Amino acid sequence: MNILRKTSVCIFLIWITVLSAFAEMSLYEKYAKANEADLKHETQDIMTKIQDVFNEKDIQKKQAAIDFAEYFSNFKSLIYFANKLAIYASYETDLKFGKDKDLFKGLPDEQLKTSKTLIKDNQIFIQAKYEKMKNNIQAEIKTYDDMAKICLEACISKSEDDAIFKETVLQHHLFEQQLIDFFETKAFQLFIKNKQQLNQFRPNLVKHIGKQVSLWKTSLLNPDAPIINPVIVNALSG
Amino acid sequence: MYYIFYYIGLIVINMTLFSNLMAASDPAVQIAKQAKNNVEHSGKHLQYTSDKVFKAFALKTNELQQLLDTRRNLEQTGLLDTSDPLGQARKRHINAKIVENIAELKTICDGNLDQLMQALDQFDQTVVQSIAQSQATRSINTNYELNLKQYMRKAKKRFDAAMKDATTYLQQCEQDKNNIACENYKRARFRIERILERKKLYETRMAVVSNNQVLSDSIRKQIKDKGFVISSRLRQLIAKLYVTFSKVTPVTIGYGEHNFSNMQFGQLDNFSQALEIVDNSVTKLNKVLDSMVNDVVGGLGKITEIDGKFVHGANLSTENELLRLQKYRSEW
Repeated sequence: MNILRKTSVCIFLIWITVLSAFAEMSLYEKYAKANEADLKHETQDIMTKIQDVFNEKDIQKKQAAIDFAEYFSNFKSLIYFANKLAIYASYETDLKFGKDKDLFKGLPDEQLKTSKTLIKDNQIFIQAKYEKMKNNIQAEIKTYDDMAKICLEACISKSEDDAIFKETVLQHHLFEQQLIDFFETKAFQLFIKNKQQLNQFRPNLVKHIGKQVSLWKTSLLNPDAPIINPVIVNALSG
Repeated sequence: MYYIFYYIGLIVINMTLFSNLMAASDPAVQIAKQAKNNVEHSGKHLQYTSDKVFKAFALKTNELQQLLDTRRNLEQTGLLDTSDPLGQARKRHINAKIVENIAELKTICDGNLDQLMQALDQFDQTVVQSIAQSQATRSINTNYELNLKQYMRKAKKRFDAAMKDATTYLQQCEQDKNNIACENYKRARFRIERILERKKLYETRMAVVSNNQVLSDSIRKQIKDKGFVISSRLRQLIAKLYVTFSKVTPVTIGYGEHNFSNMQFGQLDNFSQALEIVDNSVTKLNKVLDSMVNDVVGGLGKITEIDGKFVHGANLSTENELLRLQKYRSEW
């Protein structure tokens, strides 16, 4: 039984090898045996088809789409992180306020009002919580700063340093509608609302974002451009 | 009789405590899980979308290699000799077939490009939101730690008081042979035992919190470090692919037979190598994606959930807490 199985496997492997050799040979033989007229005719057909596929403008358009996707994704993330940072703009004042006004939630304790030891304990707890929150906030700010920086650098590298991006995407106003739609979103509206607050905390970031936005502003303010919310136009101009 | 009620009461309290422990879950773990699920879900969608392109890519690379091998064999046997009209026709034909193969690959890429870009954008936004979402785990974990420490401090005070009572009652029990003092001592000892049991429970929870802190830190870092670069790398890869396609354009423009017959073998080899590089990069990228998902899933498996209701006053996130403070300040 075992010998029979081994023999079957061997026959199968030999069969596969023969088939592979035949397949390889057949392509070679096809060329070896082909006549000149048929080859020329087929070549002509293939070339006609290929010319449309490798259309230069089409490839450029696709490359521009990829470039824009990279830019737009980073731009959206940049606004997202900027909005997060805006929340932290007044964190020192907010934390001090919370500490001074005894707003940090401690453990519920009925005896807290009467026992001096527990009051002291609670003060230690509030101070520890204040310190921890401060450290956590600083770590979160660091994360958002880092992420915003990565996104901003990606946007700048496309819009300022990449000549092809400038020529194909910016100058020809490609994909403009996507920006217009994004300027109408809650995320961007929130950025406009937070802009002043963020400007006190991270003025450079606001300046750079403004510069990126202004790249699209020219076309947005064009009379032929689709009508968008005037509040946004004003905010962009500011 | 008194002890029976006391024990029943304790059993009920402990059962409630442990049922809460089982039912509720640590918010930090929940958030980390949610962030991980979102990234994983979006990552799977991205993999599914990109797979269509990359599988076709792998198949076409094989077909291309077969054509290149045949071409080399024909050349070695002198069947592509351009001084012979038939040899020249063969050479033009096989060159055209090779470029046709690449054209098929480009058509597949073209057809899936919009979908792939959308999937990448969606993945990017998910990662960005997950980074922000997972920030809260840091604050939740430290709040747990703080609150548990405060519990421990209070437990220590109760322990000291019970110890003092027990010592006093024991002395009275021994010296005066006072039955009431002896009963009081037994109850005080019982209190000490309960406090020590609770201490063990707190210590276990402290260990869990510490473990969660490390793991949620790791998840947060993985999402930030790995998730954030994947889309960018994939877009660069696709961009490189189109640069590769654009190399074919000059060959096909004004497609006179002259162009094809003049294509050098070296050029084709270079092209094949470029495709192989892209193919290898795609494989590596998939490995990065797989490794990221596996790392996150693996890490989560080690997290033990703890009772969310156990520690009172744990804030959901620093961000929410700041917003709350800002609101209070504005109302002041």
